[in-house]
Amino acid sequence: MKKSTLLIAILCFIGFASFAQTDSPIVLTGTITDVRAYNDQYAMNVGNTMVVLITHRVPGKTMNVNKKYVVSFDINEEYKDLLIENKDTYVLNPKYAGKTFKVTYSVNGKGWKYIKSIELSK
Amino acid sequence: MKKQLLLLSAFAIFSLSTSAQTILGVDVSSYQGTPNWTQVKADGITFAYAKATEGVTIKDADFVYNETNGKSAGLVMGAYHFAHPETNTATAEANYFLSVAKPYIKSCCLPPALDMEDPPSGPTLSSYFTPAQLTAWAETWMQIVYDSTGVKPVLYSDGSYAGSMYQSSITGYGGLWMADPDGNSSTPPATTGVWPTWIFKQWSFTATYTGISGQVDADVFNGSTTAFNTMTCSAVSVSFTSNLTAICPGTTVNFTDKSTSSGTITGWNWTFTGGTPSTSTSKNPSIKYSTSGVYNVKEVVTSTAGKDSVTYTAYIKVAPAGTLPVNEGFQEGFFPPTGWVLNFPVSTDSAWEHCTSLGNNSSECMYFPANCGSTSNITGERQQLYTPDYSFASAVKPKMWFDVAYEPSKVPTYSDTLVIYYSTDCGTTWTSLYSKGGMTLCTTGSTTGAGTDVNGNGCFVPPSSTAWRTDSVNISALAGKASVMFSFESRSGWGNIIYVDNINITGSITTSVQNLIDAKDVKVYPNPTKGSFNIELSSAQTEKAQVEIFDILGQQVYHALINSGVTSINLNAKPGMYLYRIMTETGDKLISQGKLIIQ
Repeated sequence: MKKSTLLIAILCFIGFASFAQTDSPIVLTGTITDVRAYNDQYAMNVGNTMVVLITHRVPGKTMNVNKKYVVSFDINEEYKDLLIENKDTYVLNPKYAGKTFKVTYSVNGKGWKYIKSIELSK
Repeated sequence: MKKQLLLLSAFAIFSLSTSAQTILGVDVSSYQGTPNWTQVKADGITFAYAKATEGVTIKDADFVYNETNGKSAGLVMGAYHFAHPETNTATAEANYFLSVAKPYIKSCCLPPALDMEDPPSGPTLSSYFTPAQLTAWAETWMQIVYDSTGVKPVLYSDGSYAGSMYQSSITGYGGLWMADPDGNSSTPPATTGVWPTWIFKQWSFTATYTGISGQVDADVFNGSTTAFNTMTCSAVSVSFTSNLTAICPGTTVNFTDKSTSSGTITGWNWTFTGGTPSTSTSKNPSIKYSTSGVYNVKEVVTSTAGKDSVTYTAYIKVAPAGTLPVNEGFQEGFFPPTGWVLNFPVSTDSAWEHCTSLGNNSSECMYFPANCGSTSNITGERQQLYTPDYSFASAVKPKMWFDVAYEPSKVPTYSDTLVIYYSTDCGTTWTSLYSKGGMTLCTTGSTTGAGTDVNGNGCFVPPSSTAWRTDSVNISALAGKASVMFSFESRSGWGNIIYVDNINITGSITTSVQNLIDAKDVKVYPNPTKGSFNIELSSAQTEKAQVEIFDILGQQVYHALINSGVTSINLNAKPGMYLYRIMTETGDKLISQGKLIIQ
């Protein structure tokens, strides 16, 4: 009985904590242009709106000292190739040039509109 | 059983290893609105940076709220500045930051932070600056803030800039706050660039905590609780005392440092305006003050944890040396007279002022006008006028007398008091000599009809010399004292104006008693007169004399100390018969007396 009470309490707490904060994703539609480095992340315009693609650096599995870290983008798996490396920076993958995307973004702690997910618009 | 022990041990080791970097924080700006900091604290957050300023014009709307309420909730707070080096000079931005954030940078807070990021729009910082230029900009900003606050700022940077846009000299400041949003608060940043280590890691841009609306940047401190406390409470607390604060010229004051710091104090830099030496690096210096005046003392203390300073204004008061006799009629054209000092126990209290429209047989005196006409009730306010320091070492029968005019308010509770003190230790301690208030101080025999009037209508103005009274103060006990100061204090009851004029202090020299003036050495002419007449003391005499004139009712209408030679007096009095009396300077011997006829 006591264990079950404790379990319920914990579940309630987790539930409260989980739902205490909500962010409201916003959907944006447009073509991606002007990809550029921005505070170790990558910024781009979707239509006329600047959004940020959060970047992670993870230790590289290579002996190349210049590749100590490799870049990973915080984006849904099917579009991990949205940006590709080109001369020490990243640019829009040409295969997505001119395509219309539906971008879901939230506002983070810095006030940035950061991409949570992306998909081609049908 | 052994497996269980092993498991427990492993768990304990794991707990210890992770707890070493679990001092969590957040950094907020107006994007987060007004967090409920009590809830944030309860959610495990120990510290928080609040955005204070951006550029030279933007003050974060919620900075004060965050600082105040975060601290109240028990968080260790800090202020950061979002830089726009592409637009402004480092000096301008540092001063703007200080103008907003400095009051919040104190003991037990986070070091101030310089947030260097790419501008929200337009080219990146790297397109504006070379590494040397960007480093110089950041160092200038941090040096100005350090000089002002005594705390070395940290610099917020992302990994790319930390490694490519700063030169190693920047590591001499408060350290690195590294942006590395890998979502892991337990691992170090992927890189620290030119910095050998890191202070904070911003491990998420998208954290959520109870009490904060939406997403927030999450941070972690690199070190133990002890290290965190050492860093945040490292601001030096500077204070000092001294064995004396009110002194006479030539006195040496011993200062004692009372500063504290969580670090080790390594240096003291004192500045003693008016003192000798004027600077010192000793912990407990001894400073001699030779010249009268009121002086500030500044102390800067440096420790391994930072530095700070304090300035005590008007801390040392060196009384000027005055000469006897005194005949202060406030005729110099300025106030207070040379060598006299206004003392403000409470800096905002009302003050003795120079009355330039009237006096007793003159057009100037000093008065305390705020007692009547003040829109706020100033009851209880005290303010003093200190005289210079006089020597009565060779004096016999020293005397003090002065003219006063006062008429109380018709409201008895609004009663003002005049108190006179003396001090034989240059103002350190005071002893009351004279205290009169209300009807006892009244010089007209009645209360003013209007009483206290906040508009100043009906405030007492002495209509003529008859409204003045000469009061004597017994200071005979001061004979032989080498150092004596006097203090004239108004104790306000928000009643009516006190006027004081013709302050006389005498202390004739013992040897001069043998040179008393004889009656034949005094002439008064013309007599009868229309008001103007002369008193001539024998030119062979160098001593001063007191002159008193009384009407037929015995009311004193004139009192002055005159020198040898001819003194002209213009007595503005009604026609009639008066009595004059001329006495020695100390008033202990009658020289001459007679009738004076005003036609």
